[in-house]
Amino acid sequence: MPASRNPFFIRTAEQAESDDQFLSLFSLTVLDILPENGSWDRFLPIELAPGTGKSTLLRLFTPTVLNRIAKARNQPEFRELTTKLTHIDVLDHDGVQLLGVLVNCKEDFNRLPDLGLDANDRNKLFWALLHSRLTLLLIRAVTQLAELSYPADVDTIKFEPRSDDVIHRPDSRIVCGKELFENAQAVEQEIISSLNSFTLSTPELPTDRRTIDVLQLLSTHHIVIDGRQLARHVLIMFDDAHFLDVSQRQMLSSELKRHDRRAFGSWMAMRLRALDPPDLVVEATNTNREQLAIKQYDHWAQTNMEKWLIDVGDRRARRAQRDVSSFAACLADSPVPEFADETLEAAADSERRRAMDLARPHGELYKNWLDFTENDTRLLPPLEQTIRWAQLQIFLERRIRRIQGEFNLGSLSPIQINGLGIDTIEPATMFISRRNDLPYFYGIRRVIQTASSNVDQFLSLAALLFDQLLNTGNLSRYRTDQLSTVEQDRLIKTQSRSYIANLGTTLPYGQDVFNLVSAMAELCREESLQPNVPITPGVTGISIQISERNALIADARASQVQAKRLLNALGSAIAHNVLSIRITDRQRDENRAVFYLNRLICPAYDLPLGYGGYKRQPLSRLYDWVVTGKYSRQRGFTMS
Amino acid sequence: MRWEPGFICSGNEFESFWSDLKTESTASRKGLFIAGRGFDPRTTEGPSVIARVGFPIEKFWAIRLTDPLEVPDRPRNPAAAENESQMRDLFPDAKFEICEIAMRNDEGRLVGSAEIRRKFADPRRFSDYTDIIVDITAMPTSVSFPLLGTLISLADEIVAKNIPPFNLHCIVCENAELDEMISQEGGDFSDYIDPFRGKSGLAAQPDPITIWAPVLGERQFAPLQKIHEMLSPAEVKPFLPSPSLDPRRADQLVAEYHTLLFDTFEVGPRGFIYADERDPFDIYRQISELAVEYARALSPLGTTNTVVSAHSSKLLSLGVLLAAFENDLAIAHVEPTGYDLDPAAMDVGTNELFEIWLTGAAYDAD
Repeated sequence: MPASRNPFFIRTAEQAESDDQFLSLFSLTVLDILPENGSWDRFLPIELAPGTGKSTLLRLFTPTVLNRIAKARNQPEFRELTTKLTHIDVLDHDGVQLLGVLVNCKEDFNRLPDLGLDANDRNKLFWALLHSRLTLLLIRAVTQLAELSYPADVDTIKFEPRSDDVIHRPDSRIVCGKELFENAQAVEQEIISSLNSFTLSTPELPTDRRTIDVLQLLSTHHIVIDGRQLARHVLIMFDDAHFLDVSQRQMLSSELKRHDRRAFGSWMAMRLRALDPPDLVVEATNTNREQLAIKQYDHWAQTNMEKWLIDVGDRRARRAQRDVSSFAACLADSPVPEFADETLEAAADSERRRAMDLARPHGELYKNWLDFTENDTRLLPPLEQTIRWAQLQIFLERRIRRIQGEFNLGSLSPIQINGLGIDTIEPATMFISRRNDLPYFYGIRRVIQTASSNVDQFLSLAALLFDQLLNTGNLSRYRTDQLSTVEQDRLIKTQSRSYIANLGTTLPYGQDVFNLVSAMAELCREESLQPNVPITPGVTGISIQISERNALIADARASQVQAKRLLNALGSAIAHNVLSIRITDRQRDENRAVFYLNRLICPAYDLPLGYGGYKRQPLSRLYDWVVTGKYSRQRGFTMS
Repeated sequence: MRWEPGFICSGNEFESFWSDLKTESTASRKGLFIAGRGFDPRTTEGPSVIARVGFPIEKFWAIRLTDPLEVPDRPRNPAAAENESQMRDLFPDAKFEICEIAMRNDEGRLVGSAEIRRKFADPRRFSDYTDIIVDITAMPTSVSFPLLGTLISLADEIVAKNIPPFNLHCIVCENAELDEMISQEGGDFSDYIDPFRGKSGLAAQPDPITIWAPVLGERQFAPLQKIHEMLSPAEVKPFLPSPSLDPRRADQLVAEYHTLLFDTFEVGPRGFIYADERDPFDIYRQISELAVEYARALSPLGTTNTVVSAHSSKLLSLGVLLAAFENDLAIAHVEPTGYDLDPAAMDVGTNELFEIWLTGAAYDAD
C-alpha cells in the first residue's frame, strides 16, 4: 500500500481506492453511531447531512472489507475493530457472519419516468429494476464473501427454504443462483438499454423471465454455498436514497418496513437534501425513535466528534510519506513561543491601559477591581495577563452600562468581579487577537470546532494545514516542526473566505444562500464585537419564532413568492450544512427555531466558534437579506 | 474513426462557407435552424451571418429552457427576449417556433436530456430538410449533447435505410473573455449526461475499471472535485489546451488545479494530454485513441469504462461529444441551476464563429 504525499486529500474513507486503504483510514469511533440494540433485522433510515460519515459506515459492512478484517483479526491494528464487530455479531470464530449488500440508488432508478409511461407501468418497471438489480448485487456480494468469481461461479449459490420459517413461506423450493442471475440480468439489460437509447423506447421485459421478489425470497430462504449457510445476517444498504423520486422512496420505504424484524436488515441512507425545504426546517429537528438522523448524530457528535476527528487526522498523518504519528501534534497550540516577550508584554500593557481608561471617568468606583486584577495577574505570563485585562474590560463595560445614570455606588469590592467567569475567556481572547494582531484560530481543538461536526470539512481544513507543513519543510525525516499558530490562523481564515465565496456558485439557490448567510454573519459580527459581549461567547446564529416558521412554510405552500424564495434558500443552506437548525426550549412566550452558521464561516468574520448565542430576527429581514445581500446589483440566475 | 478527417471552418471562412453552400444548389436547399433562446450576447451572431448570406431557412426552433424550481421573483435577464426578437427578424420567412424544455422536474431531478430526446427523436420531423443547423452557442452542454447525439443517431438510421441523410451542421460562437464573465449557480452533485453512460451501472457485470479524462478549463474546481468523488477513477488523464491562443494557458490551468491534480487525482507529471483548443476533432481523435488503448491494455483485468467530462469551451466540448458518441463513453457533468451575466459585460472580447459539419455530404463515401 503506497504512502501518499498528503493523505488528507483523500476526502473520505469510502472513496479510498482499495479496502486496505479504506481500513487504514477508517476510524472505529464511527461505529458508535449505530443503535446499541442491533441493526441486523430492522429497517433503519439514515438521514444525515453530507460529511457525517454514513457512507464510511456502509462501506465497512461490504463483504470484501469484512473479509479483509477477518483475515487480519490477529494483527494488533485490527484488534479493537475485531472486538467491536464481534460484539455486534458481525464476526465470530467461523468468520464473517454478515452479508452486506450495497445498493447505490443514484444510478438509473430516477430515470424511469423519462420513458414517459403511466404511473402504473412506471411503478412496475421500478420494482422490476429494483428486484433485478438487488438480486444481482446480492449474488455479487455472496460471491465476494465466499471469495468466488463473479459471475462465473453464480451456479454454486443456492437459496434454500428456512427451517425456522413457518408463516412466511410461499415458496418452499430451492432456488438456484444461476437461475436468479440470468433472470435479473435479462431484465436489467432491457431496462437500461431503453433508458440509454436516443429514442427512449419502452422496454419489453422478456416474457419468459419472471421477476423474483428478492426481499420475499430473503425472508423465506437461507443463502447456502456447498451445503453451508453463508452468514447469519443479511443487511441490504440502500445508499444515496435521496436520488430516488419521492414516490419511489416512499414505495421502497414501505416495502422495507413490511419486512421489518424479519430475516434481514435494511438501511436506507440519504442526505438531508431529499427532504423538501419545509421538511428541512422542521424534520431536521424532529426525528422518530427508529431513525438514525441528525438529532441522534448531534448527540453522538457532542461526545465523540473530537475523538473521532483526532483519530481520522492521526490515521491520515500516519499514511504520509513522512514519519508522523499524530496530526494534532503537528499543530502549535500556543502562540507564546512565536512572539518576542516584548510583543506580548506590550499587548498586556495595552489591554491594561484600556481597562484603566474605561474605569477612569468613574473615579474610585472600580479602583478595587483594577487593583485586584493588577495583583492577581502580576505573576502570570504576559498572554494570560492580556486575556485577564480584556476580560476585565468586558466586565467593566457590562457594569458601566448597567449603572449609567445611577448614583455613585461607592467603590465596588473585588468579590464582585468573581463573576468574571469562563464565559468571557473566548470573547476576550478574540478581542485581544483583533486588537493586537495575535492569532486566534489555531490548535487541533479549534480546527475540529471549525469543522462543524463534518468530516469532509475537517479533512479539507486539515489538508490545507498539512500541505503547508509539507511545503515549508516542517516535516523532515527526523523531526517535526509544528505549524505556527500565525500560519494556522492565516490558512483557516483563507479557507473560511473561500468557503463563503463559493457558496454562490456551488449550491442550489446559491446566490440567495450567499446573500442570506453573509448578511447573517455581518449581524453576528456586529453583535459579537459589542464591548460588553451581551451574549457570550458571542452571536453565531439568528432565530425566528416557531409560529413564524410555520407561517413561512404555509405561505410557501400557498405559492407566496417571497416565502417560497426564503424557504428555498434556508432549505438549501440546511441541506448542505451551511446552516444548522436547533429548536430552543420554551423562552418567554414560545419556542424558537435557531439557525446557526456553519463554524467555517466564523473565522472570516472574527466570530467565536462556540454555539449558544443568537439574535432574534423578524422574517421580513431575512427575506430582505436574501434579495439584496451585499450586492448593489440584483443578480438573476436563470436557465435562459 | 468516423470524423477523421472532420470538417471545420472559422473566422472569415465561416461566412464564405455558408455563401458557397447556398449557391451550390439553391433550389434544393431547405434549412432548419435550431438555437438556444438565451441571454448570451452571442446568440444572434451565427443566425445573423446565415441570414446575411441568404441561406434558405424554412423553420426556426428556438429552445427555451425552463425550470420549475427557479427562484420565483428573481429578475430574468431581458436579453433572452431581445435575442428572440432579433432571431425572428432575421428570418422573416421562416416558421418560428419556441420549443420549451424543462431542465428539471418538480423534485429537482435533471430531465432536460429526456425532454430533448422525446421531442427530437422522431425522424419525420426532419425529413423535409436538407440541412439542419444546430447553434450551440446559447445551449448548455446538457442540452446540446443529447440534441446533437439524437440527430447524429437519426442520420445514421437514415443512412442504414440507404437514404441520403440530412447535412448536420453545428455552429458555435466562441469568445473566451465573455465566457469568463458568465457566472454559474448551483451544481451540488455530479451525474452523467443522458444517455451517455458508457459501461457504468450494470450490476450484472463486475465493476469496470474507470478511467476519467476531464478536458480542463478555468474556474471549475468544484465540478472537477464532485465528478472525481462520483467516479473514484483508477486513473485520471486530464486534457490541457495546447496549442492555444494564450501559450501559457495550459501552465496556468495546471497552476490553478495544482493540488487537485497532483494530490487528489494523483496525476503524474507525464499524465497530461494536450489538444488544440481550436480544433474539436483533435480532442475527439485523442480521446478515442485513449479509450481504445486503455480498453486494450487493461482487458486482462476486466472491462474499462472511460468517462469524459468537458470543462472548457463549447468548441472543445464538441470533440468530447463526438468521441463519446462513437466509442460509447460516459460523459460526466455537474449541471448548474442557473447562469448570470452582468449587463455591463455584454460587449467584452471578440466573437469568432465556427462551423463543424457532422453528417451528410461532407462524409459521403467516395
